[in-house]
Amino acid sequence: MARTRPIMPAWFHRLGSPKGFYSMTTPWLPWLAAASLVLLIGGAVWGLGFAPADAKQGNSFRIIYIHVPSAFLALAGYYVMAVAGAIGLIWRMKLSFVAMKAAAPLGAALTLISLVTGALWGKPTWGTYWVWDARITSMLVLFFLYLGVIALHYAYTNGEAAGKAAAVLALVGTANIPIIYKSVDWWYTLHQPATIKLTEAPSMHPSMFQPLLVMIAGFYCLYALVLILNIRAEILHRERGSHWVVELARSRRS
Amino acid sequence: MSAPDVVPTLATGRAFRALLVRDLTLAFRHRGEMANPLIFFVMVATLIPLGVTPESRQLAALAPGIIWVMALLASLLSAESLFLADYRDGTLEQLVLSPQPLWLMVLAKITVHWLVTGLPLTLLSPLLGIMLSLPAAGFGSLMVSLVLGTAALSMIGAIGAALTVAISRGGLLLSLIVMPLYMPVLIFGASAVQLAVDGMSPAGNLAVLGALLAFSCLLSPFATAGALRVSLHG
Amino acid sequence: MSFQFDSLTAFYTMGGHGPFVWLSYLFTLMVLVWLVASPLLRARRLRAALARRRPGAGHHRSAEEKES
Repeated sequence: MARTRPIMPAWFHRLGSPKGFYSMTTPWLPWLAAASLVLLIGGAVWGLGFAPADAKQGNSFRIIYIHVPSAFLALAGYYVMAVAGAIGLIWRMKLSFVAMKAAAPLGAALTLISLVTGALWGKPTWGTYWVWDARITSMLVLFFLYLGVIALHYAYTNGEAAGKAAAVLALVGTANIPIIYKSVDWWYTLHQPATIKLTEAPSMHPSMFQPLLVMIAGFYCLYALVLILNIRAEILHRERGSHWVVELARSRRS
Repeated sequence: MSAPDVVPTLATGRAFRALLVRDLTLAFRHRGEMANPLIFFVMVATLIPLGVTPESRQLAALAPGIIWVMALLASLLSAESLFLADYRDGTLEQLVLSPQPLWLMVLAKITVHWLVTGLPLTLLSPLLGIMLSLPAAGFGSLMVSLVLGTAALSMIGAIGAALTVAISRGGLLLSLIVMPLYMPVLIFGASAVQLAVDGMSPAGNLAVLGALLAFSCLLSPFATAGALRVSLHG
Repeated sequence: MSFQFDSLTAFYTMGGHGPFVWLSYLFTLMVLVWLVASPLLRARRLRAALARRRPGAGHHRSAEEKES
């Protein structure tokens, strides 16, 4: 607390204090919730009912509208987690460890969505639920990386050490992700089965692409919403002894 | 690390050597422990023909991958013990508090770990090659890839070992957090052997393995040192 | 932009791909709902536990906050 910090804008300090973050994000929640609801429902209806079916894959192609956004955010989420961990290690900001802890299960859930939808898409397209395709394999490795961070965090009983250890692991994972992806890619070209090819049109027709953009935006909003909700719940838990949280709990009750 | 008065390089070098000698001596006093990963390595090689097929042509097709996966698992098994004994008897605490740079001390411990696991695994691998009917062309590539690869595995495993040393029953957790990071080494190691068996040059793959080793040498001692500080002092 | 299916039945079956498409969306929906609900429920539990705590117990609160 007595640590002298480098000069930072005021919002940084507000974000850095649990109470500041909590009160700052309260008005954001309804907007984020509304935006993600509208975008996700709109995008899903558009993608399911109104986007044209793919010429080769038919209607199974409609899974792309959840598969790609979730895969997208699963990967981005790892970097969110690692950057939060790095900020925590460098600036000793407690809140960023909270953010890192909040990002881990969220990212793992999104990775799981992309794996499951990928398998369900694979069955009608390739005739099998699972192929050792480069991207699927990379996603699986990403899932393991998330599980490792989560498991390590839970294994520590001391909360502060847990945050730091998980941050170190997340950073090591970040340094390795490009290497893992490149090597899996290379491994795949080595073993590529001739019969199976990932059919991705080089350029999607706009009528197919627009709902995808809507869904990606919707997933982004939902990601931000859940991340903030997780952080707020964790703040309540960690600050449960402090005055403002007790106050808050009572005022909500009345 | 924060001490402004730089410790003379001679003392640092001597400390490095002293730790190296100490750890090697300890390893040789506990030869049984040292032998465990090697016995595991050979034993699983016996299971494969029993579980899959004794037919030599099929075994030969599987051999590069199997030998590499087993070397990886053996290295993983031994990684848990890297810091455990020193953590229990308090030596690790002394190392962390010592004026010598911790990453250098960590490097000494990793080097010893490789000398007593990775190197014997490599020397033993031709035996496994014979047991699993690896074609003669693959042997050279197998040994070179294992020398480079097991060193990289020791480096990566050290990070996991440091993160889990203070956790009771951290062994399984160690496997979970380290195995994804092992994958590139496995991919390039196994395919180097496969390429040599197929009559192609494994030089490119071995170069990549060397690069992975160099990268892990750069990253791992520092990450491990940081992880040890977290494990010990929170 | 128009509705791509002739009938609702065609929309459900999606030319044979229906089960895969609908299962994907259902699974995603379930996970997303769980993602949103779990922190909300956790926060509610925490708040309830705090509100149940006797006012002032162990904390520097005085009597005037009691009525809230």
